[in-house]
Order: sequence, then structure tokens, then C-alpha cells
Amino acid sequence: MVMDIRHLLAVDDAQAEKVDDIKEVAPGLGEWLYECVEASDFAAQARALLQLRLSVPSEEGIELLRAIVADVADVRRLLAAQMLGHHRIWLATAAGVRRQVVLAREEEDSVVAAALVWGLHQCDEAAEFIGHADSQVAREAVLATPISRRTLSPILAALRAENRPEVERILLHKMHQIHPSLVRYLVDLLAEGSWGDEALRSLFASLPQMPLFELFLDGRQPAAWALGDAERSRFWQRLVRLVSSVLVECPGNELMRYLLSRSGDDESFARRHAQLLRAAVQRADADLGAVLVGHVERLTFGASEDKVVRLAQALVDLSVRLDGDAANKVNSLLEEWKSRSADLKLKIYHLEQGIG
Amino acid sequence: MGCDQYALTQVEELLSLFKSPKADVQKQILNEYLKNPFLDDDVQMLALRTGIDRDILAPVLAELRDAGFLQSAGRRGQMLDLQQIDITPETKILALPSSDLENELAAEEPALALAPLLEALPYGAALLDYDEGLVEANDAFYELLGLPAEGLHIAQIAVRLGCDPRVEADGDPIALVLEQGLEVQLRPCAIGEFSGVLAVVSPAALGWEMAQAQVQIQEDLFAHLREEVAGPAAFLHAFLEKPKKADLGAARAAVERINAFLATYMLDDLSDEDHVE
Repeated sequence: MVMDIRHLLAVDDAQAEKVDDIKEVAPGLGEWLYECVEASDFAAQARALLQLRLSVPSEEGIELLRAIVADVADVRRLLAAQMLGHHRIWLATAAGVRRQVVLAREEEDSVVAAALVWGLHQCDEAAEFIGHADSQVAREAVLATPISRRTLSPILAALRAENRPEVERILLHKMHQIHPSLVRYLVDLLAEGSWGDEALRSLFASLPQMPLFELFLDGRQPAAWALGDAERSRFWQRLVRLVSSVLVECPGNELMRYLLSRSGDDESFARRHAQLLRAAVQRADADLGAVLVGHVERLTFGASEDKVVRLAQALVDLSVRLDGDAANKVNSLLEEWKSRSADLKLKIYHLEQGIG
Repeated sequence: MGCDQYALTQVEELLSLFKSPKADVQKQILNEYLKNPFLDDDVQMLALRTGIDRDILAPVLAELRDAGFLQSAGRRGQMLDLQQIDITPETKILALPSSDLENELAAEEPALALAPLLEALPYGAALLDYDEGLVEANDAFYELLGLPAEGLHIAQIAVRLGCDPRVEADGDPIALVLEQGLEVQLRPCAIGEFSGVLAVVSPAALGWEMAQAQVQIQEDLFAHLREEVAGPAAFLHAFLEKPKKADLGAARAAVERINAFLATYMLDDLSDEDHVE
């Protein structure tokens, strides 16, 4: 069966008129660019800019802009590069994107190159310029690069280099938005180069905590690449240690709730991660502590004594760190648990005395 | 730290007192837009670009939009508001006068059109712009507030009034009473394209003096009451609790003091009537 697409190919009169309207813009484009560049006052420049912003260039217009950018003697090239980034109808074709990349690649003026790279925002192709020799172009490239499977490798290379703080700041901030499903792939890419502890620590602190926990601390098996040789195995163990220390240093709400919920439900999980949970609870700030107390209260509502005992340690640790209403809530919760049975009372008492 | 360095630091700190804490952020943001006038970043991207926290950035962007520097682009983006750029502060004010003739005059001589109008007012008046501070004021405004007419900064007005008039008058009109009976009215003022605050300073001397006189009379009366009535009455109370012959003369004197006080305020007739009954 073949889909009938003949109606899509037929251009009706209205569409033809629209195309003509757009084409009419091309003749004035070069003049407006001149007008903007050579304007004697700011108001005239603003008017010309407004005109350029509102005018959608046709195919010919885009070609004209490219020609202006390519001409190193043309005073309008920066503005033309910026306009190419604003009117991105060339994004519709792979050839258009390639042309933009080539222009940026061949550009020697860093300001114009940065403007061309800006035009590639949210395109994977921008990642090519992350390692650009000019810091201005590299900065624009990291701002433009989306986090995707294709761009992770150059991103990690830039982070590994540790020589551009501004680039690292932007990349690490962007890493907060990485999709959890990409974390495993990212970890596999870590084995490709040599990393300093600080760079790895910063990277792990920027990644979502849940996938890191599941991958390094909860999973029983290391990644396949870590089983290859002793050196890689040691690297994996180093990653595990770093992840553990990062998670304990700054535990997030989601991870803490997960640890508490699973510890309450699963005795073997609770035993396995008791140390991590305790260390994380002891570092939780007052705001997170207050949230966790509420969470523990909900988890233990009508729960078995075993579950209560498993979570009591966390609550006792929290009670030391909290004050005000949250501390009162912890104390009343502990008192309520103590009143359930003599056995529970004794166990909680031991925990409070530090002999549990 | 050497003396010169110390002095420089002090000067910088003093100067920073008169600068809005958001000014640097605004400058940084506008710089990015001036570098690339086609920039249409959203808040998140601008935060990444400038390294400024989103919580700080969002209100500053809103202010820049309100001030006409930026405009919304797409769903969440911001871009340079080019349509506003050719409106200078003078022309903004000059849309104020109501008649066409005044408008024409104002269009020809922007700075002079407003000044005579303000000078003609029988009280101190000043127009304050939300962004630029003092736009125009008459002589009475400077004289009444005791402020210098040359190079007056909005911060000096804020110190004199005890508040930033632009912030205080952001909502409903308010009135402040300063010492020496000065009354300052602050009211939001949007005329034509000008949007700011109108500050009116009036002496309000009679009302203030009357209020002061009333307060003084009340204070004197209470002091007199304490001395001439409350003291003797306390003595009489103690005397009646434990009467001693030796204190009889003093008790009588206390009653005389109270009577004298009542006579001063012409209240002795009432006590006589009570006594008769």
C-alpha cells in the first residue's frame, strides 16, 4: 500500500502568494543589515534590528546571509551570523545544518564563530565546538549543546580536561537535567579516559542520585567493562567509593525517601544500606530532616514492630539534628512507639542511649 | 591594608549604598542582549549564560520587562524590546500635559515644559521615576526638605523621608508626617507614558502646631495632676489607714493643695456641691 501524497505536493494559490511574500524580503535584507551596522544613533539601529527580526528570509535570503558571513571583508558578517541563528528555517534540512556547521568550523573570527554556534542551539552538532580553542566559542557551544547520547562523549571530554571553569560550570549545571536512562551510558563512557577525583566528584554531584545509587550501590554487579581487567575493576571500585561519598555528603530528598521506604519494607536492604542511611541522615539539613520525619511517620502508621525498629535508628539520629516543632514531633513519635510494647520501648531506649 | 587602599574600600562601600543591589545583575543581563540583539533565551538559559541564580534572575527580568527593556519571546523566552528603545526619558515625561498646546510645547522643549508647571505650585512637588529616581522637582521641594538642589540622589531623599518613596508609593497613596510639621504625600502617578511617583511636600503648619499645643497641654495637665493631686491623695490615703495626730496638719495641707488644684481648673464648685449633699 502506498500513501497518496499528491495533495501535499500541490501548491495552491494562497501558498504561492505566501512564498512570494517571503521572497520579497530578500532584496531589502542586505540594506537593512547595512543600515543597522552603520546607524548613527541607537534608535535608528533599533529600528533596523526590529526590521531584521520581523523579516523571515527566504532561501535566497539565507544564501545571502551565508555569503555575507563567508566574506571576511564584510562589516555585516556578525549581524548576519546572528540573524542566521534567529531565523533558523535552515534547520529543516540536514544540509542546512551541515552548512551552518561548516561556516562555524571555518570561521576564524571568534565573535562571529560564537554567533554561528549560537545558531546551533539545541542541536547535537553544537557539541563539536565544546573543545574549541577559543573560550568564547566553547562557552557558546556548551550553552547550545543539549544533553543526549550523541553529545555525552564531548561533554565528558571537556569535563575531564578541567581547564575551563566557565565551561565546567555550565556543563555540570546542565547535567542536573540529564535523563536518568542516560546515566548508565554516561558511566560506561567514563572508562574511556583518565579522570581526576575532583572532576568525578563534581560530575557525580551533578547527576541524578537515584540512578547513581541503583547503579553503583544497590546493583550487585559492576558494569561489563569493569570485569575486563584488574585496572578497570579498580577504577569501578573507585567510582563506587566516590559515588557513596557524594551521596552521603549531600543526600537529596528523593534518595532519602527511597532509602527509608525500602529499609522499612525490606530487611536485607536495610541491613545492606544501614551504614549509608545512617551517614546520610546524620548529614541531612534541618529542612530535609523535617520532611523525613513526616515521611517516617507516614511509613510507620499501623506498621509492624519490626518495621518500626528498622526505622527507629533513623529517627533517633534525626532527633539529634532537629529542633523546634520537628524535634517535638520526633520525640512524640518515639514516645508513641515506646508505648506499643515493652520490647519496642527497650529497643528504642537502647538506640537513644547509643547501645542499640 | 594601606591607608589609600582602606580609603578606596570605604569609598566603594559608601558608593554601593546608593546603588540598587540589582543594578549589576541588570547590567550583566542587558550586556548579553547587547552582544547579541537576537538573543531570546528563557530564564534557565540566561541563568546558565550569566551564572546568576534563577531566583535572583526571575524578578530582575520581570523588572526589565516592566521597564521596557525586554519583552516576552515565545512561551518563556525574553528578547530585547526594540520598539521601546527610541523613547527617551524626556519624551516619556512630555506626554504628561493635558492640552494639545502643552503637548506641542513640551515636544519642543522637554525639560523646560515641566519645570514651570511645578514651580507654579504653592507647595513642594517632585516627580520620581521608578528607574531613574528624581526626574523633576520645584524649589519648594528642596527648601522644605532641606535638600541640595544640585546632584540630588534618590538615596538622599529616601534617607530624608525614612523610606524609599518609590517603594512606599507602589500601591495606594500614602502620607508621611515629618518633624516640624512637614507632610509628605506620595502617590503613584501614571500620566501618558510616564509612570512613577508624585511626591508633594506641604508645611501643614497650623494643624501641626495645634496638635503640638494639644499634646503639650495634655502633658502639663498630667504633670500637674501627678504633683498636686496624686501625691497629696496618696498621703491622705496613708493617713486614713493609720491616723496619727502629728500628721493632722500635713493632711490638712494635702487637702488644701487638692482644693487649690480644683480651683485652678474651676472644679471646686462640684466639690462644694458634693459636700453640701
